[in-house]
Amino acid sequence: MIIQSIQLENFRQFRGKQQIEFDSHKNKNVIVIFGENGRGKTGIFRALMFCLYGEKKLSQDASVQESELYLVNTQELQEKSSQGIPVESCVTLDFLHEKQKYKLRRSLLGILEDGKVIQQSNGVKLTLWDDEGNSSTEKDPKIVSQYIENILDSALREYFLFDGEKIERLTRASTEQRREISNAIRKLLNIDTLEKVMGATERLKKYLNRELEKRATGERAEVMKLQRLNEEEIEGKKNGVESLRGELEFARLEKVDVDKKLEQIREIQDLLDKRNNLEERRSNIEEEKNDILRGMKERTGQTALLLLQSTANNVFNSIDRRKQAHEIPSDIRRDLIDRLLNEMQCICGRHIKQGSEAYARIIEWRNRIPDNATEDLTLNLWRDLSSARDRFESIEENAVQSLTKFGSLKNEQREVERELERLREKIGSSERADATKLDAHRLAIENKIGKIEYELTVTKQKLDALYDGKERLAARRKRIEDQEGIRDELTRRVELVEQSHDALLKIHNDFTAESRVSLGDDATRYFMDLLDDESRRNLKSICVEEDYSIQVHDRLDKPFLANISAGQRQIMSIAFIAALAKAACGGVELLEMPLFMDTPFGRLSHEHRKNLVQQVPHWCTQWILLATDTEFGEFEAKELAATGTWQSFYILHAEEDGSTNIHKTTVEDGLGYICQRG
Amino acid sequence: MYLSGGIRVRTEGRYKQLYNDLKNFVFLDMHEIFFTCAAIGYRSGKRIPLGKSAEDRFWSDTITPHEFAMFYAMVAELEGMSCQSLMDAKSVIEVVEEYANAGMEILLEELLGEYVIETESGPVLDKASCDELPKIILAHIYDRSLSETN
Repeated sequence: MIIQSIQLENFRQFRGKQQIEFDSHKNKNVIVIFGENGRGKTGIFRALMFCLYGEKKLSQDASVQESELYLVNTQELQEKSSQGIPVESCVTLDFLHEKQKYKLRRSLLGILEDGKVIQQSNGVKLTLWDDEGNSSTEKDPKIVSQYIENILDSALREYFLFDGEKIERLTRASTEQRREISNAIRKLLNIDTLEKVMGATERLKKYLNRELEKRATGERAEVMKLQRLNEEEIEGKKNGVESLRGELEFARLEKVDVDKKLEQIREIQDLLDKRNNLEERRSNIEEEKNDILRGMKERTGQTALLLLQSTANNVFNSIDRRKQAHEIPSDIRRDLIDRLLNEMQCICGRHIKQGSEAYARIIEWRNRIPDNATEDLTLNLWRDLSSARDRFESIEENAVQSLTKFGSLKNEQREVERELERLREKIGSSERADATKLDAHRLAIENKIGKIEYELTVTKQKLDALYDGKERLAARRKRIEDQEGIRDELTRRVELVEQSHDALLKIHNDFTAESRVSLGDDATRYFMDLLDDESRRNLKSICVEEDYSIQVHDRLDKPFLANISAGQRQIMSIAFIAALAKAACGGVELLEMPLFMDTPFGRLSHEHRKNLVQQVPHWCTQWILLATDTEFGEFEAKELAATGTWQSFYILHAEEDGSTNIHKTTVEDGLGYICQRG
Repeated sequence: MYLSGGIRVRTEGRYKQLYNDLKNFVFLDMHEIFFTCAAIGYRSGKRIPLGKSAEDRFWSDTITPHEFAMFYAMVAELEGMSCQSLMDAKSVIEVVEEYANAGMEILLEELLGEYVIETESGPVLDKASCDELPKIILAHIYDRSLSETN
């Protein structure tokens, strides 16, 4: 299939009618479609798949509900739906296949109702031209589908899109990888029918054996029973091995995940250390605050003394003045004056007359002197007020100190909280637990992996022993049957079914083995095309193992996958997908299908990138490279331009309404555009 | 000492729980709360006689010499610096009780309002909001004392 043009109308981000043309220059077969993320690069491949197969979803949309996947342009939908008009979204593909010209148009209608997008198929139309230029049209979806399936089996369609996710998926040694490769080989070999027949013979064999067992007697019956139990046990152990492999893989993935997190943590270790310090400081502040609050509790009552400072001063000064005036304590005690008055005699010995001036002075004197109790109380009060006044300053100082310290702790606490918030934002989600916990978790996973690996080895050993037992039981049964001359109809049928099943199994194994070898060989060729010189010297081949995992061998033919770099793994994946695509095209050297590569450069070094842009144009009739600015910069653009294979350059521009406009430029202008951006 | 002790100091019955709560959260003992309230009431020139629901709250023996000195000073100042009026300790306490009663009212009005919950038996501290109450009361007393010295 060689695409001549693809027209999009209100499809995904592309509003209105837009077109990408593919000129038929044999040597200029690279089209670069350049756009930021979300501009619709993958939408071009999606449009191709929709047009050819009516498929709305790609493999990468596995987790998306089809009803949530909108193919009709949403901007147009919103505008037209307000007027109650449905929007037609269609893709038209002009292409050549085996020199015959085809035009395929597929459309759907969409409308927005109560905020929900409703999409429905609006038919398909295939026009074909014969050698003499006469055209015929087919509108029956089933017949159109048959035409397209004959051109490219829908099961194989996705091998022509290399997206980052698929590349990444194949780099991982996992059940997923094995399943993907196993499915690919089965699809490529089209062995569904063979597998169905194998399943049927297996079931028939079991049924006939059960029937035989019912009729058998003596040692033969005993052996057949043992055979049945042996088969059941083998089945159980096989399931056990599969389940342990799943657990092992899950644990390994979990370990990879933990390692990634640990790596992220190492990247943010400084921030985590800072966070830990701040959290410790926050806790210390809280303790210090509580200490101060406890201290305050002890001081509050004393501090209240300050409220009565002026009263204390006034009363103290008043008493003090009286003290200074020798009113208290009085110079002469009141009881002495009373005695003088009783005796009517002065201290000097003179007699005092009642009513005399001297008598009146003594009476006045007596009245001024307080009684002993009052005087004692006043003096005590003076003393206590004096002591209290001495303390005012230190009480005030303590209060100020406590309040100031508390205030600054509060300020610090607010600052710490703000800083922690900033750090939390920088560090990211709470899933990034601290390294210690993760390390412990990693250790637990490692132990678990060790345990599963041990169990797996033991189970495999048991399985091998069961297979040995199976062979021994089969030989024993044959010996019995030979000795007893048993050759009844049912026995012959069982033998026949077993032979058929074994033959089918051999065909299946040979077929898949051949395919594995062939895929490995093609992948190796592509791999060598793409590798840099040094890697080419060290690595020898890619091969698909019996369990469908991919292995890379070094120049000594030793398994080397675990040691290759991330970039080399990515190259390995690209080479392998290209080999799958080649197989899907029937094994021809030049893939007669457009090869879409969505952001394939990822972890590649400059030399690997250079090799990619130099080699891929020779693998296929059309290479459509979907790239962002981080993927396709000045270096890649210049290298591609230097190959002379670059045909055209399309830029996906964002419009104000959010839709995407496809803008075509010449290679020269495109190169200038890229260099200017760089 | 000028007081032999043994006098039961009274407060309004409705402040019973509040006195207990303040003793637990803010002050060391009842006499400190009583003193603080009395000082606030006295500084504000406000005294409120105790009502019929007044209850004995604590023994006078726990009152510190400095607090007693202040109580006596208050009464002496009130009586024109006459120390004769101080001779009846119970009368002194009765005067101070009235100031303390008014002081608590002021404290509730100016400060404690948002930290108490009004119940049928009187105001009680809202425990959920009184973590920093010692600091809040200390700051309040200190601020009042500044206006006192100024």
